[in-house]
Amino acid sequence: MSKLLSTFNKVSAPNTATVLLVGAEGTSKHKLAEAMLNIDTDFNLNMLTASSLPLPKDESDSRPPVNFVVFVIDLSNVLSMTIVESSVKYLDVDYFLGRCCFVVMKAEDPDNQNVEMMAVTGLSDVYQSPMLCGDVKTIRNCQCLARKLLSMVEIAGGFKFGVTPLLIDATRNTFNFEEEL
Amino acid sequence: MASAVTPFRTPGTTPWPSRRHMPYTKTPTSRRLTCKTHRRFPRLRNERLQVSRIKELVDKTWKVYKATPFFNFSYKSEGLKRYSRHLSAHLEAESSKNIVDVEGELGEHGTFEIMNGVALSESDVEAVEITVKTKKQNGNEDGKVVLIGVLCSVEIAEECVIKNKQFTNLPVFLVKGNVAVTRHVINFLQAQFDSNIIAMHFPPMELAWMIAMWTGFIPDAEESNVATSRNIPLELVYRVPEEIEGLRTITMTIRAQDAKKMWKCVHNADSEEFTNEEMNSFIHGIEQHFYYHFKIKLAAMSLHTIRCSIASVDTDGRLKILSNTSVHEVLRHVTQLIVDSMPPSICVS
Repeated sequence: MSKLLSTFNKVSAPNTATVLLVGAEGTSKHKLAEAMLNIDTDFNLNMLTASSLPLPKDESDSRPPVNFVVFVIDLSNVLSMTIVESSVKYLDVDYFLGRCCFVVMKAEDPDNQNVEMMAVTGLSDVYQSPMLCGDVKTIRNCQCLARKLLSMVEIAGGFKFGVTPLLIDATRNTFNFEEEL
Repeated sequence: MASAVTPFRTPGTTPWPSRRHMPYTKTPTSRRLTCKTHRRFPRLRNERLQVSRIKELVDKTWKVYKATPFFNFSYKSEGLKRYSRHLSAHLEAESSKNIVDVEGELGEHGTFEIMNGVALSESDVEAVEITVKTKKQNGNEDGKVVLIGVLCSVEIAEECVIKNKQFTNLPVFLVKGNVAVTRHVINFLQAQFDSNIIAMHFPPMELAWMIAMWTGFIPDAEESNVATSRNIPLELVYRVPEEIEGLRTITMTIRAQDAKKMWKCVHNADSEEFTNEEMNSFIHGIEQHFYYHFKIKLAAMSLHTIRCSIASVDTDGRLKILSNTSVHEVLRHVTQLIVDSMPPSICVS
């Protein structure tokens, strides 16, 4: 049984989207998850969190298929970066066509920075997935980040007519970060 | 240096401002360990007869500031005397504005002097020392020194030497003194020389580089028979994230000789450069050791202070050089960090 997380091997419940947040402890995943659940949506939203991939074996097969994966990196925590770098390898290739995203926390404080920003942008370039910077310190910022993620989740769950994640990925404004990882 | 300074946009790059002007700097793949200019051969200007005052920088806790290039700074003695007079006048004006009577701590007499022995290579300009003393109480007694400031640049990179003769580049400003007088001196320098002086903060990544590089300067066990080497252990102080209650910092102390042994294993002996991978293995080794004994992941915390027999530095910008022999290396590294952290201004003519 493959350890890779895959999105198309199960049929999901109708009108539901499932989001998986992956990040080390201390990167405020749960605050972000609560903010996303507090926003009104037409569909049901399931939030799963994990501190690393691969996920433990699903004995009862009750785990819903994950539509969207968010990797949370904290710039003041080197461990969060190493965990994300090793977890990304356990994702099936379907996820990298618009169903995956990197979120960077604590990016506004270069004095306390432990992880190099260039390493994060390099990661985003290599896996061709969008990178969002945000923080959960104030409610307003937290809600803003949650809304950005939810707009991507909505598309990944197929709730927007005529728009697929692949379309978004193909028309995404890439930044062409020049430096290699 | 990983990225060269280019003010012109090369074809094929993005139209929006390039990332070099963002506050995030790229860690270089390798850094020089020792100074390029050999210290035993003094510069060919006429300072051979003058005593090097570099030892005065040791054993004092300096607060590091970074300064943009100074406009119209003259090294002639009339120039320096003029600046001293202006500084004294400025300080007197500031102290007369004071409503609260600060008990004699506010200095009133400032002097500018050239400090020999600090500047190293051909591209460095001479270092300047600013002293602020209180007014002489009696006729014969000299005032108490309230503030010492040193403006210097040690082995600055070639591309940062300013071709325009009107500007003088002295990026490193070390200050020892109380907050009020420091503020007045900084305001004076900013107004007089049209520059901007900001406090320097050393990010935790740079502190890791420092401790990894400077462990190499600790003398080996055989050489340390000489009484001059102080066997100060390596100390790393980590700050614990706020979510954890009851614990604020973790201090890890390593014996100097053990750290030196690990450094030798990590570092390629013939090379003058210290690479990124060597730095990562050194720090990783320390963290693994700590995890093995205490099951605490230091990788999740951020460094706040480092201390070794060469120097002690912390993230708020306090620097204390402890070794007489490695002052130039420390200042060279600080110069490089400060110059890297400032956007390229008028460096290219």
